[in-house]
Amino acid sequence: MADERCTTTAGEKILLSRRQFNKWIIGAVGAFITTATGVPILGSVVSPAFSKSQEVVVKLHKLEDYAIAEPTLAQFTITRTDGWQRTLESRSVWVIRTSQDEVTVFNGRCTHLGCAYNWKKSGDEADHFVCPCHNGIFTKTGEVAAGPPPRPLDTLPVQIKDGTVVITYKDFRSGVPEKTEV
Amino acid sequence: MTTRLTEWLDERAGVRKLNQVLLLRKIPRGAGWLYTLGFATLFVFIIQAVTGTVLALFYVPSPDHAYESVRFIQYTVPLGSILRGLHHWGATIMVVLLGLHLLTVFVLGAYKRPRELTWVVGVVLLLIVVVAGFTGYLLPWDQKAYWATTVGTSMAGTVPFVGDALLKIIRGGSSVGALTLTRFYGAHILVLPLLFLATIAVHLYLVIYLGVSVPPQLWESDKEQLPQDEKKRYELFKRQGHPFWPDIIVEDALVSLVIFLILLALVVWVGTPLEARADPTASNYVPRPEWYFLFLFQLLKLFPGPLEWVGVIIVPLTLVLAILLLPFYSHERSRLPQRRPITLGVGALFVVAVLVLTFAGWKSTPPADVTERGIHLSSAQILGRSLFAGQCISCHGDEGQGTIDGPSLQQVGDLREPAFIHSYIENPKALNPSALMPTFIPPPGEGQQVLSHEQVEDITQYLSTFHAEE
Repeated sequence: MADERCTTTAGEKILLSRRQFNKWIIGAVGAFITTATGVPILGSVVSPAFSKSQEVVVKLHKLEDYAIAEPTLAQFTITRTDGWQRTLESRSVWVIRTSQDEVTVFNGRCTHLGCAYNWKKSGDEADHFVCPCHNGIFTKTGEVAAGPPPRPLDTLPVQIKDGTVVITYKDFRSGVPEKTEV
Repeated sequence: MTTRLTEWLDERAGVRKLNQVLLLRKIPRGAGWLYTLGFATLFVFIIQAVTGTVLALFYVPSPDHAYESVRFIQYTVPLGSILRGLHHWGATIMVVLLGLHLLTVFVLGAYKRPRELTWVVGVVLLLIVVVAGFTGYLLPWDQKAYWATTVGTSMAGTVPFVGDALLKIIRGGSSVGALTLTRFYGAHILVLPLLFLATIAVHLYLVIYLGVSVPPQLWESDKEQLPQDEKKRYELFKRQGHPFWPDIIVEDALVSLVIFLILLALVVWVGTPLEARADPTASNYVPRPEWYFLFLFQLLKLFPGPLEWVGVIIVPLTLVLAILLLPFYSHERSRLPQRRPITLGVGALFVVAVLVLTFAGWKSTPPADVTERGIHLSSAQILGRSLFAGQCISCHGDEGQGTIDGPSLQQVGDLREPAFIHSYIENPKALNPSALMPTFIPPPGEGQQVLSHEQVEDITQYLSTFHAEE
């Protein structure tokens, strides 16, 4: 039996019926409009996936101002381009002067899910960094002592310039075992 | 007059047919009070839509104004605190009602043939509401908003391979900021409500097309002479039932009223929290998710380290799929709860697990382990500290040690009574005419209120812990 779609009422065989042609046109118009609006929509929504965060060089205090082996919280502001606005944002790092002329600096965010952690001087977890969110605990050298954090605290590049501690501040991806910049 | 108008409308819009289908349709015999939960949820959605629309007239979705605009709504806009309270507590009530509605349908076996699609669409509605809750959470841009969102979105980043891209797409960049706020705002006020409306339309269409289920004990009763054919049996129950308008809807209206009164009571007596402005460096802040995410939050603690993504993605996804696809694998013929021991047992186990995890998460909430200067802080003092960090440290120093702009407060707990501290924060000039400190609660009509009385009391309690070191 001949395909109805390709047969006129008179029984003549044709290549394409009017109705079939209309369906194709509707499909093509729909596909074109969906693509033409869909690409910019998807593009603008997904584009942040390819963004890189900025590195900032920050001057902290003089090295001699930090007591040896005592973690000190350093808070500073960075200028970040946040969408359409340039904002001053506060960031924090922990500075530990490990010896007379050496210093280790940890990014102030927990490697678990990015909460700000704190140094405990007394109590149950004395002499450890403790993150209040999910009880991640780190030693003074940044190693994971307990809790969910998947990697040690993130160290930041640090230099001593004319006796001043200068760091390159970066943020890292939280929740994964590898230390990767965001 | 009315009949002529009806006549006119009917000829042009077929309102009689519409009335017949929507309002005068009969609800089968046996539909009791439990059947009001769906309507009640819809009622709270309408409350959310209306209050949300008015809130949007005052709210600014930008980090430099979001917090201030929410404060403005809370403290300055006449009755703004009521509006915001209704919206805040409405979200909580809606989640509770959806949970109860889902449980009822589950226990009564109402998700079974032919109502499988109604169930699936209903679970999609639940997911939309949960995402709306999560996105709405960020908008006040206070400490809780910022940190709950930082933690919540970080979870997406733990997904293998695509985590990084996913995280940045959700946040609109690498960290929570202006673009996160606009994204969440757009989702919260446009995308999700439209999705909700479209989905609820399908849900209601199915409810009206199929009719609500007959309670299982009636449906499967062997005492009555019931037709074997399901359609005929349903028609019988329907004939014995009552019309939706006004017999059934009056029950819905009464339940909605009770819910509304509970909502108002929460707004008036519990109040609506607004913490200090978001501070990305606050290392003492203990973020806690909203209560309906607490069980997930607690679950995460069971999957430490590199297994995190199992707790973050696999477990919730499995749960959602298990609930969504329930009608397609739960094959007991009977709808009677007592004849579905395994399904009901698993369901009960699930409910108990969620309750236990929620309770454990809530128990771990009291930040009793927060100590400062050797003093255990109460929850009010912790709130006070967070407010102190937002309002006071620029002049009094981040440890209250004082700066050139403000005196040291480190012995204020020894020197002043709490009542004095409270009054002084409210209006310093009333106690010391030469005070340079800003007024936080001016007398009525003399400028804008910056803090609420509760917030001043929280700060007072925190400051009362400041004693001279021995």
